[in-house]
Amino acid sequence: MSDAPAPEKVTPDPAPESPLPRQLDELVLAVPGVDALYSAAPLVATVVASVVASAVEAVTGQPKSNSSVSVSEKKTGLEIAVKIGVTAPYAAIDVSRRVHDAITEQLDQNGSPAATEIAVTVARID
Amino acid sequence: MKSSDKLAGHTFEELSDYLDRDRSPADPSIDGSPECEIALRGMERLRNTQRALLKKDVELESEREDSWVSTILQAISIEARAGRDIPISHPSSTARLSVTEGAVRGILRAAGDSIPNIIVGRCRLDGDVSEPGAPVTVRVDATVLEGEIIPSLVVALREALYVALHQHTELAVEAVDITIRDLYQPVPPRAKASSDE
Repeated sequence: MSDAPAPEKVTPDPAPESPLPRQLDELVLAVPGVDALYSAAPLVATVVASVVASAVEAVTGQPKSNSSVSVSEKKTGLEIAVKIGVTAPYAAIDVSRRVHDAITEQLDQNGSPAATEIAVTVARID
Repeated sequence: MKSSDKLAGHTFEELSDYLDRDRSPADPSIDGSPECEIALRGMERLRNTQRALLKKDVELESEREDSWVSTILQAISIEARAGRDIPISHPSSTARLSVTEGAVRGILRAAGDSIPNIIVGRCRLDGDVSEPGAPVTVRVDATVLEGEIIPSLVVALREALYVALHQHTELAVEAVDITIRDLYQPVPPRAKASSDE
């Protein structure tokens, strides 16, 4: 047996972004009545994240994430937050329910961990 | 202006300038904010009304006193903020659905402005809107074109507000109180020819 040290495990840095938030962005925007998708993170967090992502992009060349749906992985499962704009003649009540149901269905199809919370906020109605 | 008076970090004047520039060049920090969008839509509707009145005035060579406009602009600025979350029910235990108070005020203003000769000013939701089933009173101030029959306009406005509330929220609306605070001037009659003509 060789005494040579085991090769160091190389981990790509930074880790590639999970495709789930982007997938959910597209999914939510395809729900009838949704005409806008806003960042679900608070404004300050959004600005800070955008600045950091731009810096990372400048250094690594890796494109920054533009996903608006927020997905947090907790011990108990996924927590998902979505902020949308709704357009007439759709009702905010129906559209928000459809967004929730579409996300649940997508997670099932993906075989993703179950969501413990799916927060859908209607932030603007036209 | 306090930073708390800003919408997504933008003053009302900045938003007004953005409209003047026809939203060009695009500013993602404005376009990506629902609060800014609500304020911009309200300002656009008000500007359209003002423009129509101004056009008539120019045709008639008259002058207008539009102090009511600044009152309404102030209300648009304050009320575009997201405010409280108003819950929407769903049978799933994972669902936490809501519509913001700012979005509801925006749609109430739009519903009111869709009625000719009436412009919605202040718009308030009184009551614990974040508690499902809690009684809520909607209070709306409006400005009406002078000469209009106010009671019939108020009936139409109340109807439009109820429809919008019912369509987009599950609020237990106990009352819709409407106060006509101001009148804006109709197109003034042409100045009479002087008597010595």
